[in-house]
Amino acid sequence: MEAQDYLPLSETSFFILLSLATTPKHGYAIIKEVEAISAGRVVLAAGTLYSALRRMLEDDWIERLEDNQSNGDSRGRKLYSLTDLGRRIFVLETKRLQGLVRLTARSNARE
Amino acid sequence: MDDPMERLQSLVLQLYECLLRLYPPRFRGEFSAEIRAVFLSRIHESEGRAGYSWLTTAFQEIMGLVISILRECWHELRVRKERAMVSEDQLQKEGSGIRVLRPAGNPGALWFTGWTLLTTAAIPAALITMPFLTALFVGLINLGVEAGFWPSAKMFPAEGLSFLVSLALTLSLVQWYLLRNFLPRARLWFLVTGAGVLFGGLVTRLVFLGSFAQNWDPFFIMAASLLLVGLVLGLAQWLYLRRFLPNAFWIIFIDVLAAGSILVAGREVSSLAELAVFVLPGAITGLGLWLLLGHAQPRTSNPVQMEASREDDRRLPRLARVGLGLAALVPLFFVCIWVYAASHLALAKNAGVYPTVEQAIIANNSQGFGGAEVVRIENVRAEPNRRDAQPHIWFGYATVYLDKVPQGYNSDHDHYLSGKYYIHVKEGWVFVGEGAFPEFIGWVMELYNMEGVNR
Repeated sequence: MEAQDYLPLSETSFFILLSLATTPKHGYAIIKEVEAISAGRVVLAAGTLYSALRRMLEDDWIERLEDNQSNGDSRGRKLYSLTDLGRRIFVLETKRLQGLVRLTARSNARE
Repeated sequence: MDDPMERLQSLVLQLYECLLRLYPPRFRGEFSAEIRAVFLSRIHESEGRAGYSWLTTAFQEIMGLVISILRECWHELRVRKERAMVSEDQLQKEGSGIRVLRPAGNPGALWFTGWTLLTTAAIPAALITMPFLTALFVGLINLGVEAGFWPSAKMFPAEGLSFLVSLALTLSLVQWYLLRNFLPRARLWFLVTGAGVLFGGLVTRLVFLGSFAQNWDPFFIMAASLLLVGLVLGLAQWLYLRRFLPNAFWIIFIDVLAAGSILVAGREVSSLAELAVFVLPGAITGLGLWLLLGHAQPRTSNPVQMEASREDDRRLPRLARVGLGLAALVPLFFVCIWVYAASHLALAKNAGVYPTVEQAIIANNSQGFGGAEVVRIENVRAEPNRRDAQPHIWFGYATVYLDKVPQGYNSDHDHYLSGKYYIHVKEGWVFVGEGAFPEFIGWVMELYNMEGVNR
């Protein structure tokens, strides 16, 4: 499937991709980042997060990396990073949302 | 651990651990350690806040986990299904445009045996579930009568309809279960089979059991009814199968043949050997579908092979699964016996509840038969069926005098001795036929405190 075919994204998916856009992160860091970006509006439960991560891994949006700074706790901490496909999807979704915002602004300006 | 808060936290953690085990094995192996670590981090973080904020966090996490478990279980079911079937875009398109099904494997001898046995077992299963549905229908009709929608409960053929609905449900359920790995969207098989049996039965009742066919030979009526039900069922199943199988129309002939095979027993089933004819419909439809599905393979030289990986090593040990299955049967048994007793008692109450057992005996024997009317009833007496137990089950006798010898009655006597079971429920005495196993019902009544008089 092409990146375009996955759009539009759910809010959860979008925030997860947004949190991974800068650096790879582990699960807890993703939750904290999403909470911070959304100003506390979106708080992901661990189960919700990992269901979404499983789907993204299967669809090849993200990949899993070993966390070298995990002090031997390799079972509990894995890093998740965007793949090229995941990044393309994120960029396309961002452009789509920006387009919507522009349209809304133009419509409001006309009124 | 004496601190109640610590104890509560430990309980929440145990609950979370238990819930984690409900994830499908593949997901659990891959993510549960991470989920647990994230949960602990969130709880630890919220402990630093004021009051019981950790409880709110735990609640949010548990709710999220439950939804995630449901989502993953559903996903796992879909994955297994996809592994067992070739997806539609890999199906060969024939010139006629018919899509050809290629399951990831053919039904084998084990499937055929299972089909034959389970399809045969659907008939007694329908008989077992019938009283419950009858009670349900009677209850609904009584409500309708009270509301003025229906003139009389006696005009409603509750038993016939409930058997039809039970048979439609049990038959379509077992057949869907056996076909689900060989047909795409097999839930539609459940729908068409259930609708076919139900519609076929209703059409038969309208056509052959109406007043105009009353003088027909009963065997002819039975033959025509069975063949018509087979035809309607076959047509319904053909509507579904034609989308996937090139020779789907054969299912119509197969169903007609299967339904007609019961006629091999003759006019009535009088021995155990003749009872075996009820295996024939299952065997004929099983063989027919086995042939149809076997010929559904595409004629490509290099068919796509789907590898269905078995992950038995991640499942529970076999012994544990068998143990869990057997343990689940215990509550199921108690639910089933309650349903059986409650539905039979509901039917009995619908027929009449009497303040004394003698009145119940008289009311129950006041109907004549074979063209003869009851003139008088004498020697009415009753006694507990067992002296030492079950005081709510009595056996009632009466000598019933008729105005003439009934037709088909192999005697020149105009009277007979009646002996029947009567049960005392909370509201009074009811009649329960011997075929419904009144002593067993009495035992269930004691279990659930449903009896009127007790020890």
